[in-house]
Amino acid sequence: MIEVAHVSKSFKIYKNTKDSKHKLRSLFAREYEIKRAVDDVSFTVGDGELVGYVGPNGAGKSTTIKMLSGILTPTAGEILVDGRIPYEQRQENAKHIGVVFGQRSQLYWDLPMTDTFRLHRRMYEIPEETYKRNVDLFIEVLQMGSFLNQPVRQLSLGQKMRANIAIALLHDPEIVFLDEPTIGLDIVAKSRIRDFVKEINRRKGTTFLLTTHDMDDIEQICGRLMLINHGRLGYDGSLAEFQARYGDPYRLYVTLQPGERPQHPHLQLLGAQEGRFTLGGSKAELPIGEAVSYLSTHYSVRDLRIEESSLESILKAMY
Amino acid sequence: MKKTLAVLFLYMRVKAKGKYEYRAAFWLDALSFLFGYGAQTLLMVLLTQKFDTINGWTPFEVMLLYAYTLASYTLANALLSDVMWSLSRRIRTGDFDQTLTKPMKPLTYEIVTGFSPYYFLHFFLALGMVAIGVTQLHVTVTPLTILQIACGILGGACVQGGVLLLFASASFFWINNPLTGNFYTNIRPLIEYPISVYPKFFQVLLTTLIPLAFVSFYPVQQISGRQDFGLFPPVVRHLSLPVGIAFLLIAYAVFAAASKHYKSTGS
Repeated sequence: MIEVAHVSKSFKIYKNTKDSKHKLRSLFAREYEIKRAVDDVSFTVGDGELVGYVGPNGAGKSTTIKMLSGILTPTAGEILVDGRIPYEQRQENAKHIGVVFGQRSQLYWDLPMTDTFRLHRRMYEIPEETYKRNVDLFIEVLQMGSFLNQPVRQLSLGQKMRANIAIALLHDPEIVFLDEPTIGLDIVAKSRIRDFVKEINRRKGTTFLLTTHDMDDIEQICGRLMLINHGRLGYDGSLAEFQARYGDPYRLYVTLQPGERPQHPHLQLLGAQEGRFTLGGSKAELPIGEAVSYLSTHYSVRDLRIEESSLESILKAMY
Repeated sequence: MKKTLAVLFLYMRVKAKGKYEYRAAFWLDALSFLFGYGAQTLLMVLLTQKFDTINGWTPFEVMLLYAYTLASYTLANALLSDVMWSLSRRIRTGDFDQTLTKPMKPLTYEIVTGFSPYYFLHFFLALGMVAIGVTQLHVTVTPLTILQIACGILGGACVQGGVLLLFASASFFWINNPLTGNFYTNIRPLIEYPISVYPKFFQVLLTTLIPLAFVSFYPVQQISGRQDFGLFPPVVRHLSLPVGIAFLLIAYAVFAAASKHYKSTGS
């Protein structure tokens, strides 16, 4: 279980200036400002949960993950990861967590990843049976058999990411932090990683906390969503509730017979072009089914497309 | 400790494998070692032939100073050169994050992953020079002599290691750390000569605040029998190992405290 209570993290940032006089003065006396990357955040993550942690760039996602994994110490507040204070009991905590930073690799560049596996096995003192079982599982689920013995520098981005995730899970951690694990990957590679995360969660009950900008990652993996913006937690709840609460608006793209023009008190005409109309509605005022039924009854509908608020569009509006 | 050594030996094997992947680099490294240290050895031989004394020190005593400095330097660098040379970059890029997510103390992990066994080639060259120096000075070699040489070199390794660690620690405060890189390489030659040639202030500095005099100047006198201690009592020639260990422990404490200032980078 992860328990975060009123955690804040501030950084002292030196003020950069284009003014050459100020630049010279900064050699002797620098000015700085305090940036609050995480501001009074509290949440709890239970065992076995799959949680998406989203927010715009600079929102505080990675800073939060780094505090949970023991890399950074909070300026205020407390964190417990399975009863341990991660930044004070770093070595012990490391044995029970896995961390994947999407833009950094843990692989040994010039050698096959089997060598990195062996190093991790020795470092984490993984029993032989557990090691073999996990390696076999990862090869099967992540389909790594074809490139297991190739030097890492020859692997594609997707292959390297699969290897990095495998390494993070080699020692059977109870909790795994994935920081943008699908960044830069093609849709097939992303799909493999999403399936792998769900499979490991199902088989081993591993808790995953995932930060990502890819909303498909959230929709396909996570049951719970936490939204952070400007260092503050804006939403913490189920994904379904989030979509129900904030996914109210919808659009209908309808093509009618020439001469017809759709009208309804709860449908706003957003656009019209040669018989094709864009209508905006609110589920609270007029459910989609009723809107479609109304249009079908009162007009000669030749084509109809429904666009509900996607997670991406909701978040974009919130950011 | 058992786990650390097991990980260290496996890392050494894996890194050696990595070296063999690039054959040209491997052979060029070997050649550069031969040329580099071959040239230094030749220089040392020429020095012993060209000069009678340096501040009363005979050429073979000066050779012992060089040999002790080199031997202890190689031991310290085998463990800590990567820490000193790469830590600043790893902090600047945020790669140090990974160090903090491993089930090892940060410095242990940095030493294990940065360990460079190739320095042992330099170590054996240095031992050879010690043997030549001892022979030419007609020192009676007894088990006590060997123990004194070992303690002197080990103590010197601790002092040099402490200096490397202190310099590396500054990286947590100065992201672009000016104390790494060539800084230490440039000051190290100071102790390849008798420090009694320097002003008194400098001798005090090298005996107290930055005890580099315990790397070679004092422990060599334990073997050669020279009595050149300046302002300090003769007992200093026996203190390399305890001073080295104490200095290294202080340097480690500074490193551990400094590492708490690590701020990482953006994602």
